[in-house]
Amino acid sequence: MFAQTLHHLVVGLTTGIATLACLCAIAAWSSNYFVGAKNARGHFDAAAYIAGIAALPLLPIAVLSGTAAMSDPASDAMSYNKFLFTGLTTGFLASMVIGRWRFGPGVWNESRLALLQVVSAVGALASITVLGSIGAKMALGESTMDMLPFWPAFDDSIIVNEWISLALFILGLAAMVAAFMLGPKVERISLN
Amino acid sequence: MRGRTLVLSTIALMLLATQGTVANPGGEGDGNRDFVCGGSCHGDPALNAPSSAIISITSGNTAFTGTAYQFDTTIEIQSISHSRILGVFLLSSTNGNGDNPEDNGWNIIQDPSGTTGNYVEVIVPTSGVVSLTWVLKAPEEVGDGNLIVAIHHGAGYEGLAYLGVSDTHSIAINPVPANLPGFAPDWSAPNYRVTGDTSPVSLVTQNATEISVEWKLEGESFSHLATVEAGEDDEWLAYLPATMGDGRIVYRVTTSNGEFDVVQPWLTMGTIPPEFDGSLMGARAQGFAGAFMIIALMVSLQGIMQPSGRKHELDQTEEVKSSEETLPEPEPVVEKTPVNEAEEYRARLVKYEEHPGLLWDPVDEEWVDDPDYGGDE
Repeated sequence: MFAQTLHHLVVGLTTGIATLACLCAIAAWSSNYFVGAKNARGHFDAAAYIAGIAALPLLPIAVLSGTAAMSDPASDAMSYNKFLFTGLTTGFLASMVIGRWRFGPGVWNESRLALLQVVSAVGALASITVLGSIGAKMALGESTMDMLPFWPAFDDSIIVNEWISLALFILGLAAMVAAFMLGPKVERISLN
Repeated sequence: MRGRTLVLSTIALMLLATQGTVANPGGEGDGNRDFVCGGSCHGDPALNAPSSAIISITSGNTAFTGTAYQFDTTIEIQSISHSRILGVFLLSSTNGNGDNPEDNGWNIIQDPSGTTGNYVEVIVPTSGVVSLTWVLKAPEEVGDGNLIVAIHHGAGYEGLAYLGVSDTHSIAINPVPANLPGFAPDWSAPNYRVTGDTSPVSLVTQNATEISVEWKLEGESFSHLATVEAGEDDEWLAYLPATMGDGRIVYRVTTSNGEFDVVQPWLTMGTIPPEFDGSLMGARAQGFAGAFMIIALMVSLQGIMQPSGRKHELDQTEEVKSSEETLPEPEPVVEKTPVNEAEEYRARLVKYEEHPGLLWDPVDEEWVDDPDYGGDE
């Protein structure tokens, strides 16, 4: 009972903060297309950066509390998909924060990097929406995505063997380390 | 006064409490129920009325002990509640309780919902006609058996329960003729099959040398013959098409041995989703793998898309900056004082001792007179 309550609390915090981060990042990118929005861009950028940093440590807490709240986690496609979409959310959100950290607030001044940042934000926002909808479907039997003319096939999942999952994990870790260690050196972008 | 208020309050609370138990207009679901369930709840003459529905039974009047028996009933009903729910009981007596057919030696193999209950709730279509089939195993004792259909439903918004009971359908239960072909006693029909499964359905018979299987999707009018292969030890493999989603297939087996041809009851088989074989560790590993791969992809793209070190061919900013850094300090500029042109001319003239009275002008390359020597020019 306590685990369920904790999960509801953490999920509310995580989705709220992560959604704020994504929406502010999208707003910061959009401000490039509005005259005189440079001041607002700074505020949106700061809000997105701080909210993104705050959401990242909350995600694993949400996963752990959700696992504790279920009697048999990952035993059905819906809960299995929650793990997969949590991974996608973490990946997109972390990419957004890393991009901002590496290039500084001037990242929005470079059109291509700004586009990459907003792609990460939209990916994270979409994953969070799906996560919330699956959770609502499991807990309440309905979700806001019911308004769609179709219900995405979240009651089915891509399941691979445990060993292949482990291999994918190691491959992903190696790819990430290689991207940081062997990729081109980046420099912070000036705000001017 | 206080006592009267207390009594009135208690009565009011009791009356309010009864609101939650007046009826179950949404039905109570399928299951095994005595008719007393419907009869007692609706037993008060002020709360019930006879139904105008016509209940007919079209099954045969003969069964063999311990063999399958198909019971078909059709209910025509014109007046039904707005929810159109109809509750149908299959009973073996009209006693009110102990009237489940299983209390009288029958065994329900399959009810109209695909389970094994004597009570089902159905939604009446707009045509007002409902056809239901129970498949039962006849009692082991020879004799006469009775089966009765009872219904209850609502109609309009009058708040009354409408009850109906069919005529008693008598069945003569005869001993099994020697060598009668049929299903093996220990065989049970599969209720469900995994979606998309095309593996054959195993049928086990006794005293049968040949069988045929016809099938149709639930609700279809025409049936199709299935391919049947003989297995080992009275086992037969019937190839029925795979079903998807909520599809239900009905099939009927005819068992033969040259002496008898016995048409068995229609059996229903539903569809269930495949068993989920994911694990918590696999889900976690896949989740982390997805996160790492996205980060790797995005970090790589960030490196590729960052502002390039190559400059535009017309951009000479760096050259200018570097040249400014390497140039020596500029000499201080001395402002020229304005001088007289005549003095300037005199200053450039050169005097030679060997040519007294003359001065050399190196600019115009000519000799001029030295004014200090006494000459005019």
